[in-house]
Amino acid sequence: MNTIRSRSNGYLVAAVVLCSVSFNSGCGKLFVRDIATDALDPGNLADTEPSIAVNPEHPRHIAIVTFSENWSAAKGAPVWKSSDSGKTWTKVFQVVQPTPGEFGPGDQKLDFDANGRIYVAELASGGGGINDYVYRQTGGPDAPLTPGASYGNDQPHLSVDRSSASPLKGHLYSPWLDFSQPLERSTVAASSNEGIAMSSVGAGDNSSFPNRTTRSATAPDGKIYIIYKTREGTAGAPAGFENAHFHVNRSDDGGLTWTGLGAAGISVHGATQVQTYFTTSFGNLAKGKVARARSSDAWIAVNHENGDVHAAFVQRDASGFAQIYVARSTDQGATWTAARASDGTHNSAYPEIAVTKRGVVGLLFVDYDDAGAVTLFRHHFARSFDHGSSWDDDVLQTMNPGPLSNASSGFLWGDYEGLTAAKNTFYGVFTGESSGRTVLQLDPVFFREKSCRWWWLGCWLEDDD
Amino acid sequence: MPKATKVFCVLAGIACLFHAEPRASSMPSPQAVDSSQFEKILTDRNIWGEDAFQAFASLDRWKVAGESSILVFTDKVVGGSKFEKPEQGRERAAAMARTMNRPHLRLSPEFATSYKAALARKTPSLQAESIRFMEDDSYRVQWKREGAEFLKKQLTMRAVVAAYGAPEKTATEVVQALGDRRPAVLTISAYAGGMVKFVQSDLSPDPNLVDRVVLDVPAAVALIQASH
Repeated sequence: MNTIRSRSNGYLVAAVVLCSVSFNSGCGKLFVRDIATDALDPGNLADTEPSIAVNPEHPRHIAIVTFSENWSAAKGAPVWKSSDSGKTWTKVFQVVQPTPGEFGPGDQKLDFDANGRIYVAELASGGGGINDYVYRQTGGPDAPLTPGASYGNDQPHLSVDRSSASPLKGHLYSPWLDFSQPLERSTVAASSNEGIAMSSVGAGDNSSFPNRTTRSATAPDGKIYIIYKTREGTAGAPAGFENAHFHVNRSDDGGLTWTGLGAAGISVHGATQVQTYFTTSFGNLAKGKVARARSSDAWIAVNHENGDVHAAFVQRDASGFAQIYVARSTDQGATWTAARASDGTHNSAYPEIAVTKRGVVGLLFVDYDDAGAVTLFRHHFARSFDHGSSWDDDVLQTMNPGPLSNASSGFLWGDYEGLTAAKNTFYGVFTGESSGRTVLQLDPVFFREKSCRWWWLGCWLEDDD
Repeated sequence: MPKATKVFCVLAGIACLFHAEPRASSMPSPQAVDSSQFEKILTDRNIWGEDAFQAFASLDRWKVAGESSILVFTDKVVGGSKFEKPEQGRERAAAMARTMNRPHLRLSPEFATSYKAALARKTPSLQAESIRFMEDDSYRVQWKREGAEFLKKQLTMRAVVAAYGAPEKTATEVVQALGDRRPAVLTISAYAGGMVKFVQSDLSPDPNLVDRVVLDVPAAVALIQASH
């Protein structure tokens, strides 16, 4: 009897230990890490405007670009890389100077193709003006990348079609803003040969209003979506805001034409204008440093299992605050249903959205609280398990940038940050307050979280992506 | 003159003196601040290439054109005035181009000695032209000549501090352009009462290098020019 009782107690203890370890170490738990160290970032650089991508072949391999070291004639700019799901990081200096005399990185975004090869879109500036390039991998994963043809202008982004079902698998798309037009136009450069040649096509409707904030997402059937805004004046808008529509349009032919949803696309919030940010003072200037929020108000993602399209945008609503709204289309962008994702209590902006294989929607955004003596900026990561009807919101970090010497008022974390999904896990990066550094500063902060709840059996059995 | 008028004139004079005082303090004259440091900087061959001295000896053109400051880069000199439209920049450049062949300033003895070799060089004239200034998308006037070196290419802020001590004032400025590309974040270190500012840019391939030097044009002209 004693032996049996002893064994039962042992099983009980083992079960409790197993549960505790599992609860604390895994299933759905948010993992957050400052990826910079004194050794990796001896110059205490601000590491702003981060972007993230996950290798679909090896999801433990993650890449991030931020405004870290610049390229020079002798040395490339870095890509931050991890091969252990974000636990440890190195810098690989592989983004070379595209042509002599060009400075950069300016704006940047990165992605992987289906074979796990990395691509980086970069803005370079120099005596000849502004040029964008898509860099591709022509050697080993950490070898210097090769720039393709120059194209474009302001704020290049990047999406690579890596869907096995897509007839355009391997095509890449880089939205940018064309400032050579009388009214700036959202434009998309497409390439069928890894960026060696780029072909730019006007995609936004600038017939009446200038465009801004162009973001893209590929669909599993080879279609490509963009979201952009039309800037429609400031009549009736409070300071720092302007009237706008957020439009989604679609290309069904690899970026040759952008009329899948009509010439202007479809407004994701209907016919009524919304008010969104256009300011270099996001925050409260009287209570500390502020951020630029001019093209920091829209993002788009596609569910690769069912083709649903999700769009996040900023709308100042009846709460009196700028809020994050998420719209969903189940018919390839033809119709949309929008709902508020933030809680209506603080000004919010900088939305990035992603969808996992399971269909869970993730949303990264920033709000600020200026009720106290200083402005506190909060990075949020929210997940919706019901297509955007409700959200589980975690504050990733609360930050007062005032004491951070490398935090420059007017451009704190950049115009956008990074969020993506691979299989059933969200991966993100934001520029926030450092931890474990000798000098308190802005650093790139990585996070990941599974798209399940800890009490789901599937979550426990799922591989750690 | 009636006694009442004399009293009024004296009081008005005193009032004028008091009124002028804050202006003088907000824009220090070369004499009010450390002009010896300013002079030393303007003749320092560790800071400037030989072509800078040719530009300094012609600073009066910027002053006449209404430029209160210039930005001296390694390969060009750019006016501080920002124009929104290209034609405004072209007009200013055309007006300045007409003055480029005039003789340079009559230099004070110190500067005449220091700049003598540089001014004796047989080099083509600097060209005034209108440019789109990438940093903020403004239109400005620049002086340039192929192969010219105005600011030493490898000048570090550490070398400036070693030579002149810590800056009197440092500031950070985020330069916004029309678009939303990465803005330049400038670190500005002021010397000689703010008449010289050494500027580092986070967009530079090496942010430790001095990207440009901003000079107060009226103050520099007053110092360099021989008094009549």
